[in-house]
Amino acid sequence: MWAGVLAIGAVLLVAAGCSKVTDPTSTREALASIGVPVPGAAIRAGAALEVLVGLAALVAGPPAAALVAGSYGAFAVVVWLARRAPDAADCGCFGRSGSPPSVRHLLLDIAFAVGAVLAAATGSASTWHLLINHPAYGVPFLFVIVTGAWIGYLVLDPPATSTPAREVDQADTIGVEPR
Amino acid sequence: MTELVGACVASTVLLTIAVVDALRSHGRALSQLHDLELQENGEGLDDQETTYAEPSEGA
Repeated sequence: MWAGVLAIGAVLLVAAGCSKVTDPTSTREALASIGVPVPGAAIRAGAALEVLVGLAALVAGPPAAALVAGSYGAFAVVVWLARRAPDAADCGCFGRSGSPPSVRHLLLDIAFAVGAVLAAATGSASTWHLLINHPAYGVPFLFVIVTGAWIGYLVLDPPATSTPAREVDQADTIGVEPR
Repeated sequence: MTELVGACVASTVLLTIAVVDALRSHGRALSQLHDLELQENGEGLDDQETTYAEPSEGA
């Protein structure tokens, strides 16, 4: 049951890690805002480790779930500290995103951490195991978790909320009659 | 099979959050546009009243 939550969290880890490897700017600024200045190379190394943790969870399943839970627990702490920091503009989750650290981030990080712990406790099958041994379930499972991870990305980094109000004011779709 | 059900439930929860959030963002944007429209129309009415008042004073 909880393997689905673990798998979605693992795919999100891989996506976020790849994003931070390519551009760690936002993550570096987010960490600096909470008083933890980290060079870009170290962030890239950590992001590569994040990708490996996500892949390990997809291949090995619950045995690697503790690493996923630890990662999301660390993210939850960073988001909580960033929310308390006065000058934290970005959450830093996806490297170059402009999404502010919100309660939604915090709750989803905690939910994925708890889901990973429960997946480890129940000992469910991994995504790789399902794909190889039960493709009739594995292929739909892979489709659902990738779709769920994409929706999770949109929840964590919604494109609409990054539009400033002044851009809305200048839009042509206002419907106001010209004077 | 339970893994697939769990993944579907988790994806549905995420989709629900995304839809609710999108609707809230859409509502905020519509509210901003409505306020702007009221402001623009209010200014337009003021101009019309001023334009209408001038010829009557001249007559």
